[in-house]
Amino acid sequence: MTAISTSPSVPRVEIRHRVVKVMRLHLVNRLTYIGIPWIITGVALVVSIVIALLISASTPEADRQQALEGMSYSWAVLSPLWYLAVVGVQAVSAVFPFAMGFSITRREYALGTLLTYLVIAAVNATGWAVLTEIERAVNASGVVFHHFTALWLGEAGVGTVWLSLFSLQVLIFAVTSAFGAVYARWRAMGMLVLWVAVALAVLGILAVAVLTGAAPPILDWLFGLPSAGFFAALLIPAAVAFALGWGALRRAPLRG
Amino acid sequence: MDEGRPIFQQIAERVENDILSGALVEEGQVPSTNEFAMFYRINPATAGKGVNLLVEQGILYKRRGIGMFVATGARERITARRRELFVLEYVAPMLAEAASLGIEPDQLGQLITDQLTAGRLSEKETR
Amino acid sequence: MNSQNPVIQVDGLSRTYRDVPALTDVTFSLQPGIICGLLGRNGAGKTTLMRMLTGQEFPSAGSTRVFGENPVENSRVLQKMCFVSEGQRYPDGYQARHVLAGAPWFFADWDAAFADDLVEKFRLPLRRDVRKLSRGQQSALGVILGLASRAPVTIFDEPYLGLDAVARHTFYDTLLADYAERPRTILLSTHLIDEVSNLLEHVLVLDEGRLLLDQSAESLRGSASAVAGRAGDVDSFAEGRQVLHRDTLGGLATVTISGRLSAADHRAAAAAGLEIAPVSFQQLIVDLTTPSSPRTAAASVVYE
Repeated sequence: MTAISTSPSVPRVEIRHRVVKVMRLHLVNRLTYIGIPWIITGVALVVSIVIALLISASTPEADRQQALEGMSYSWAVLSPLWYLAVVGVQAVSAVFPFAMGFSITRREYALGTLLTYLVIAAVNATGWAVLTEIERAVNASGVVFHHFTALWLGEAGVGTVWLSLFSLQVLIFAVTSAFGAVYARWRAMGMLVLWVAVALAVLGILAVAVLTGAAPPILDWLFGLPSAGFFAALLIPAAVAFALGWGALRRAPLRG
Repeated sequence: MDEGRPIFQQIAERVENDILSGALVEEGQVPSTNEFAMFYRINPATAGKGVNLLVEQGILYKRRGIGMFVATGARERITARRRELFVLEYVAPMLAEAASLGIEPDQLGQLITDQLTAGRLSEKETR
Repeated sequence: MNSQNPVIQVDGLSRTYRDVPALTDVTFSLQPGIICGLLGRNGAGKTTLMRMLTGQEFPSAGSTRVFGENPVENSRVLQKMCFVSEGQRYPDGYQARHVLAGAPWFFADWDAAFADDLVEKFRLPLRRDVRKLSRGQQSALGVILGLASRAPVTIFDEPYLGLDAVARHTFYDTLLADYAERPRTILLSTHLIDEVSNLLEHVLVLDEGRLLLDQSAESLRGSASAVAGRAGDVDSFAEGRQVLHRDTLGGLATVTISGRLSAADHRAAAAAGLEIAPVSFQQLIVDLTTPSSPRTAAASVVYE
């Protein structure tokens, strides 16, 4: 062989930089994380407006106000969150093998993905919280319309609105990607065990409630919290789910 | 490329053939190892091995930073060596075979002369 | 041969899936800057080995060293490696341009201009969902990633699936030209042995998870001959030699014999009315990995 310049030594790498690059890799196709959630937000809003117009047109003047108030029980505001469940599963089933193909380590991928979730959840929550405030102002001016100001979002302060939307997104990301990771690692058997475990936990809580005639203290504590505290507490199961997901992903084989 | 023999030998032979045919002239530059590799679609290391074989035999020489050239007297050297090989690869086996068939050396000479005459005659006929 | 530190060193590497061994006690090392073929039948363990070299899979036993370090979860090593996997999955909605945009963030030696050049050469549509590309176009994307990454260790796992003959030759020519200018370690697994055999400097052959051959391509070439003729004559000629493979047709037989034949052997064969033909690289590998062949014995002889 002629002269070879390849020296078998490797330079140091800043892992932080690579984690940031994993975030960029997630966001290189902006449709997934940003485009579709906001398209869903827009479509849901349009649907709510159309419903409001239909209600206005079909109800007599006297009942109109009350009928429109009924929209404050609509779950439409949460519709983009369901889509994020798909994103969470995809992050493990498709983006992860792709990232491995880019010579990314599992740790870098997990950290980068977690950061992406947090940033995206924060951005989305901010956007939705702003829209909630705008709608509140519209309501204050006398127009009755509830899309963003529905459920607890209609009553909570802006900080709680933001925190609740942020926590819910993080929880959904973490739980769905944990399911994805358990499936990637242990396939159908893992899914079965996980579902059985979840079912047993729910049954256990129910059993305690039935036998003692009272909710378990943890639920008492949880529902006794002020709403901001309750939503902040959602980050605990999110963290547990993420840890479970990471544990599964660490040694998950690549297939296909 | 011929399957049975090492590629580097075949590369060396092809360069020699080109020198014998005059396609490559003495003191003329020959293609680089990489050009050989690309042209014959072979591994550059293999091409390099073939070229180095010729350098060892004094057929080619390197000029640092410029490239590879055909040495003066390369043609003569190749011819001389091929003649030796001719004896080894053709004459010797022919003699051995002739001996096993009971053909005497002078008969062998006659056979060669006849073959040459026949060859010339058929050449004339085709013209 | 040069005496540099090996770029890849594998020691007693084994991998078992449940109770099924995929790789058994594989040991070899590769010098930097060579093109090495990784050959073997489907299920021989090629992909498993490549995944362990790139830290995507975990050994059941033994060790892997790349640039002297364990590649598992090691970004210092991994950023110098590119593994183009045959069944690479891509996320929904990713287009080729997204993939190429992300590549330079992770491959330290990425050459964007070269990538653009290759996109044109392979006529890869940049603005179509990768999942909707044809098999050949997906392979082209992999080939472009592997070449433009210019990774000091580049691993191609059957990179040509769905590529037509023209595109495959574009791949071979580009690989050769770029490699000639920037020597690097290239590990290439393929079934199209005859197409690539001249590109290889070194050959690893896996069979049923075991390393069957680890030798230079030159020493393998011409290291076996096929002898054909009447069965009785063939067998007496083959007696005392290592027979890799034997076929019969009526009273005729063809045997593949390991080892180079001398001029005397050729004369003896001619005298017995036998025909001798060189065995192609591909045929040799096929004979070595066909169950009827006395495998271990053959390997020890061919291994020089």
